[in-house]
Amino acid sequence: MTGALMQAEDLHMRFGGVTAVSGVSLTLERGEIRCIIGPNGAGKSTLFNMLAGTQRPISGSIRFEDRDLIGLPLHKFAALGIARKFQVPSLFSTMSVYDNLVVARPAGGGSEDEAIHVGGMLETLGLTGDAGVAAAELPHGQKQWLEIGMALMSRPKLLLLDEPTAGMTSDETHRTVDLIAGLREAMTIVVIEHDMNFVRALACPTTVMHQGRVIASGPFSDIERDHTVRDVYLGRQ
Amino acid sequence: MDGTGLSLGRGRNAALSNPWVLLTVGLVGIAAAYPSWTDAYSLSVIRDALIFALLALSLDYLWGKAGILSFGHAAFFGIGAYSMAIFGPKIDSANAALVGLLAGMGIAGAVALVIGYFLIFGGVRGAYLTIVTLAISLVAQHIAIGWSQVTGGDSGLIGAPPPGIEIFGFSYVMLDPVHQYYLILAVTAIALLAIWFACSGHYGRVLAAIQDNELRARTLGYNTSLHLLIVFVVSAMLAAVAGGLYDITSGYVAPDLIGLFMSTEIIVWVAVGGRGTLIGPIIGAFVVIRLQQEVSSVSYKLWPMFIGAFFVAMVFLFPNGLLPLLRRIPRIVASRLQRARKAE
Amino acid sequence: METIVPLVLNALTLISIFMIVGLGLAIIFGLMNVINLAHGEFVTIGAFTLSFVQAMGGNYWMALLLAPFVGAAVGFALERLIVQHLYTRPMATILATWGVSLMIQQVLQIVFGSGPQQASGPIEGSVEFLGTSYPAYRLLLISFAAAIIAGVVFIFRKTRFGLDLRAVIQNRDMAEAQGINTRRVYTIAFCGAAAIAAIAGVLIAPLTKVIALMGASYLAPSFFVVIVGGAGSIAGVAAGSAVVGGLETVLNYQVPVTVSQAVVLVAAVVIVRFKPRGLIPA
Repeated sequence: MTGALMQAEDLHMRFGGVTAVSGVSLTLERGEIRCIIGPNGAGKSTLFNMLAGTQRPISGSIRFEDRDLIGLPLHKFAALGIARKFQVPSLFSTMSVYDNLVVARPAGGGSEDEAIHVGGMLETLGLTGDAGVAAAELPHGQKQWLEIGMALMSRPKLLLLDEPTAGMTSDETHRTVDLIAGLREAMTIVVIEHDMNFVRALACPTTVMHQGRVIASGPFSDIERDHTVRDVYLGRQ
Repeated sequence: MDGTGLSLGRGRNAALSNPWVLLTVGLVGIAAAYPSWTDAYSLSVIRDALIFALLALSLDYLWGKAGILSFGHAAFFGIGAYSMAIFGPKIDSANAALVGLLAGMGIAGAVALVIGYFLIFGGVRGAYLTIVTLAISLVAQHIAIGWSQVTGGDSGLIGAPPPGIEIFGFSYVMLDPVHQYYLILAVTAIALLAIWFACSGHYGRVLAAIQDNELRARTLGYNTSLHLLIVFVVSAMLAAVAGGLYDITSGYVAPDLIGLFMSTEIIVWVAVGGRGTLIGPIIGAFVVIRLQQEVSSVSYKLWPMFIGAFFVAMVFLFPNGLLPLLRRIPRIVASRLQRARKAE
Repeated sequence: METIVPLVLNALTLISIFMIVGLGLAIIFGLMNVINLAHGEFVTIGAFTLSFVQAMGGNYWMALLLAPFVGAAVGFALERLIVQHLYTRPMATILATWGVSLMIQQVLQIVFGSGPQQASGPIEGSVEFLGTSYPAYRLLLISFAAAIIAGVVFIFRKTRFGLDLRAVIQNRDMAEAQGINTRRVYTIAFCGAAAIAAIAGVLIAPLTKVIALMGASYLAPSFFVVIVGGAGSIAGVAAGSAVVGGLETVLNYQVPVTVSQAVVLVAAVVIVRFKPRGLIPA
């Protein structure tokens, strides 16, 4: 560990009169997997969008490897090593699975290198047989995987995953856990999740949000026992 | 989606078995041989059609490859044509046409750059962008009619320099209409090949990705606004080249070349041929111009009516264009036959 | 004072015209995300209604009453036959409505000929107004436009339909979940937009050349109005009209019309760069 990869401090965000995120700070160490949980409307997605650069906070700072991210054009995030997966699968639906992966690496690269790289990724995702299929025609779970694969194509330092298992069968969820757990150490990962079984299986440091604030943070086993957290969130399960 | 059929396991050899490539090679061959059996008038008709095909190609690069529908391409065409007619005759050298062409490209490119920068970097996309391009055509036509000291007003301008070049004491002027025809064929073919080649690799994939899901492309690290702006400017400059060539060969420009109806016709050429296919719009231009002559010979008022009905029919019946529909006929027939055989 | 008053009144005339033409466009764009390139033809239809009624021996007021119904009927047909089927395809809507626009132009040319039609206002001459003499009909046009806008504001703010309309503009899915029949709202709004544009046509006709192709000259400025002002709100249309109409009028005193149009185009484009959702977004 060579210090924090990303440091967000005192982030605030409002939509109209509604406060979505209020005074949230978050430090991500290199190589850690962090889960962010919380009930609907807790501000998870807003926080996530601010970290990923799709929304600009009203105030606060986000530093990534000592670089200020606020106001940086969205397309520059990828070059710094920040990749994201959207909540609703966001693919190039008219393009083939293969092309989706190739285009996910802006550097381009030589064709031979490209084929090996893409081939390896297809295998990792279990999509080798579907390389020529249009992304729109994939089943939902595989769309989610493809999008994770696209995020991985640039070998990011920070991977942001917004509900990667949404709409997956429990079998698919298990495989996703394996996929993400396998990336531990290789990169820092932030996961927003609703599925408690998924978070439990990852057994990672967890941050709980409620009404735009962080109410608890720590290992998932502690979080699970925390009374406040149980009241606002887990109790409602 | 883009009908070129290029996808997995591509290689440049695959291109040779691509029906569109074979079609292109065949068509260029026919066009190259055409002057040997035809008269001067027919040659001038085909020559104009080739220029319009180049114009259609410029729009297809923008609309088909980058997804920006423009009602402003007649304006850029007009800028090219008027620049040639205004600047060309002022230059007393074999380079006159070259100067006129560069002036047209420069002005069209500058207009596209300024308007495109503000709009595209302002986040304006889709329908909004289309509306502004519509306004470009209207304003351009008003200027062409209104600024009569320079543009000749309603009657337009007559006169254009012949294509030529003068460099290091070497001078060549192309006066023979057949040579001019070959020049235009060459420019069109080169433009087609250049765009096709560029778009068949990674660049084409990037444009397709931007067209499909721009936010996603941006989060993957593509400066999508810059890409779109470049396509917009290049496409406008190519339209200006077509305009300059038109003035060179036909010898006049008039405001109806620059207006909204002309823009509409360009869209029809691309739409008939199938947007994004590059060769399709070129064929589309030929087919539609031929059809226009037939329809207009009955009544010139019928043609706009025809175009209007075409648009309505198109969005419901053949959203991907008429020619790609024709291409599917063999497949449809085959599957019908198969079904019939199974039924027996 | 002698030059300012006519300048302001000229600006107000143009702003009024842009507002009533742009209003319908903005509502259906904000509401349905539909760009109706045939909107200019509703203006043409209104103007032709006036010519036709007067040619048949009727008067201006009869045409003013009749025109919204003619406009709404054509609007109804357009919405039901074409636009309704293309809500999810904005580009297809643009092409199809453009096609309809061309067809309406040609039908009018074939039926009425391509020459200018006769149309006259209900009052002639000028009146003394704030120390200058100004054409009476223009003052009438400005007041009619103000009345129409007041009426639309009233419908928006005070009626059940207006509430539905605002709800759908804000959030279509939510409105549908609340049991609002969005389809019906769309159809009524589309017909309403067409009716207002047709009234605008009647109002404009005595001041301009009534020809089948006149719609195009109102289409682009009213789109500028919507783009500059912001779609989906009456305040946005007012702001857009004030900027576009005001700028064009002022410029017309200084530079040739062609230059002023180009300047308005550039101004609109620059405003869009810094206010992508318009001056007053919905």
